[in-house]
Amino acid sequence: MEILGIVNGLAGGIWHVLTPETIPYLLVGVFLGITVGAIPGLTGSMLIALSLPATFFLTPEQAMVLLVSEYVGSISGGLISATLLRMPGTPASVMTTLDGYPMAKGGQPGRALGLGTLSSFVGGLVSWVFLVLLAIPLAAAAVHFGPWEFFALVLLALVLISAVGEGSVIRALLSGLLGVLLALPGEDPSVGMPRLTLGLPSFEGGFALLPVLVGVYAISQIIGDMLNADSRPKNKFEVNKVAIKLNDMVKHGSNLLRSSVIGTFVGILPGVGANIGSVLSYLVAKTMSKTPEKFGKGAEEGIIAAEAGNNATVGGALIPLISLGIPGSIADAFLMGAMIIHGITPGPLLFTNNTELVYVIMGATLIANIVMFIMMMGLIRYIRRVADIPVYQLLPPILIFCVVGSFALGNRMFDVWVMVACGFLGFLMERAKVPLAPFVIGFVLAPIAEAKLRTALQISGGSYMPIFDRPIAVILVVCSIILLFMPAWGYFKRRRNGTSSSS
Amino acid sequence: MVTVTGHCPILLFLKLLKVARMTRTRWTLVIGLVVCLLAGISIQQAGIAPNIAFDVLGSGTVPMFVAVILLVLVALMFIEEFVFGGPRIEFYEEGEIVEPSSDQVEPRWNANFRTFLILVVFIAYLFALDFLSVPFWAATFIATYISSRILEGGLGRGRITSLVVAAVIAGGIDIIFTNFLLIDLP
Repeated sequence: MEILGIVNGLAGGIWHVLTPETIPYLLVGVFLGITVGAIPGLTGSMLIALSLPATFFLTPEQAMVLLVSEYVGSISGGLISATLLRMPGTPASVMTTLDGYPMAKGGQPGRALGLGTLSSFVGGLVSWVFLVLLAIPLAAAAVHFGPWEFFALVLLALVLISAVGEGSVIRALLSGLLGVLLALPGEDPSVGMPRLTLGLPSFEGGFALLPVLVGVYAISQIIGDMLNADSRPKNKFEVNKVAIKLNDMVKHGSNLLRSSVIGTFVGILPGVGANIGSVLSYLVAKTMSKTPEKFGKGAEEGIIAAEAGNNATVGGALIPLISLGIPGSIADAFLMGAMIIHGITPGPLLFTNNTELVYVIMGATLIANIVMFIMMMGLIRYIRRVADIPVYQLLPPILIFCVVGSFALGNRMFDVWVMVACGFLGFLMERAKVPLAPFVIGFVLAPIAEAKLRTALQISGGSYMPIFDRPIAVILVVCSIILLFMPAWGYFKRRRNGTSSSS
Repeated sequence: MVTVTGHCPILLFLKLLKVARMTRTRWTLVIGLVVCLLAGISIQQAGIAPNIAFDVLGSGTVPMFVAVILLVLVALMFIEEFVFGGPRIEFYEEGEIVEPSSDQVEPRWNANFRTFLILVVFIAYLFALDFLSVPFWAATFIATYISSRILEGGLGRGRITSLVVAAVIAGGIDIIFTNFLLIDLP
């Protein structure tokens, strides 16, 4: 009965996506995503951020279809410039350059693009299956979560971003907590009184989600793009035919499946983006390959692992967003922002209160992958031309869109100035190698975490002891503590081993 | 115009700017100081945050806690940077994969100067919208056109194209947002 309900819901979601009122948004979203993904310097997250104001007057279903399609398209589009220019269109495609470009240089650009497209498609489909299989039971379990469990879950998410992400744990934690700090000014979530406002009325509404995210992510990227001289080599490969062979699925089946599963599970981890999914899949494929020496020289296995891995993170990252209300990536944080703007609360209750929307998101993920595959196979010869557009020519219009988007949300210039300030902050962070993903996730999750903690404390009369009566909360907190100290333990272990080996 | 040490202040500022040449260590110092400033303000503000009897934790506890932890993390980041030489950078983060042809690489100073000018135009544009009540379409047209010209490096080529693009962007956004999406623009 339950399974029948899910199948019916999925069929309804897919049908909704295919209606004349919704399908144009999906087609536009995938096309824009592929196009923006193919332009080095622009990312899918930036596209989603800039599209948010355009969704104000769409229904929540249409808005989510547009944004999810952009997300799917942009991860795939990065393949084009990675293969033809040796320059990843999005950070997620960085591993594709290692084998895509040598293969293109060896006279097979069509083959490299074909394999990448096929792998992206399979990665998307596998992660979609996991999305359907995992999101529903996870949400069903999470419905029973109390405030202690939710607080512990958000805590774990914040620690996970720092422990599993790229670079320094200290910098990642600093970034996440900075995001938390900037989410605190404004109305206190518990008593409704203003705090951290410096006595300024403009601060009483707090910093809105969109200007902060657009500033930190888009404006900082624009400044970085302007500073980087336009040193892009011109696309010199002619792509006459995008080639896929019938036995590719059989020959590379295990690599495709393994990389897709790795990508999906990496995607589930909050704040860990598609680039890590791609890197992990690539490294595992190289380790398990019979011909690891071919990796980096145009190996088909390398392209397949990288592309299946990065595209699979899309479906994976949607799992915690839909079921727990915790964004799995920066793009998901923007999707969460879109839901909030449309008056929808992401999390386990989404399945109860907005069942149709959940199935529409799932349907859109599936159809967007199919449309992406068809578009890439049919139009890649033409879309690849956009990779030649110098990104700096697009920067002035993008800046204007950032201003309009930030202003339109609350009709106040204060939000625009917040966006500018956050842009400079984001730029500083990037230059100091402080990752931006924890900031975004911290900013989005902080109000939830604080509200849950204070509700829990009000219920318990100020005592922290009840958390020990909640086994799930205790497990989550213990996991957070272990994850927090794991890098330090690893560091001291490496040092000890280094000392003993040198002596 | 007031000059310092005999130089034009704009040129002096640009010399000081040299953003692209700054090393990660200097950027770490800058971001650390910014975070310290924000944390300091938060601690001061958290101290005067309202408290209500039924709310056990109080309004200021979480901001105070977060700000203090941030200060500790800044100290740890400085130790990591200045004592241990900074975090390990993975090979795929450093852009080693991209090897642009050297003949197309623009002098770094030009990029800095160009970025600085565009940011000045952008801030002036926002001031014009916020404080001078210049119509959105007019301010946007001028800002977009000037930015495009700066990005083209002041070359004669594409002047008409820049004009057309600026007009389309300014007019298009104004018409679409005001008439179709019914959103008031600044």
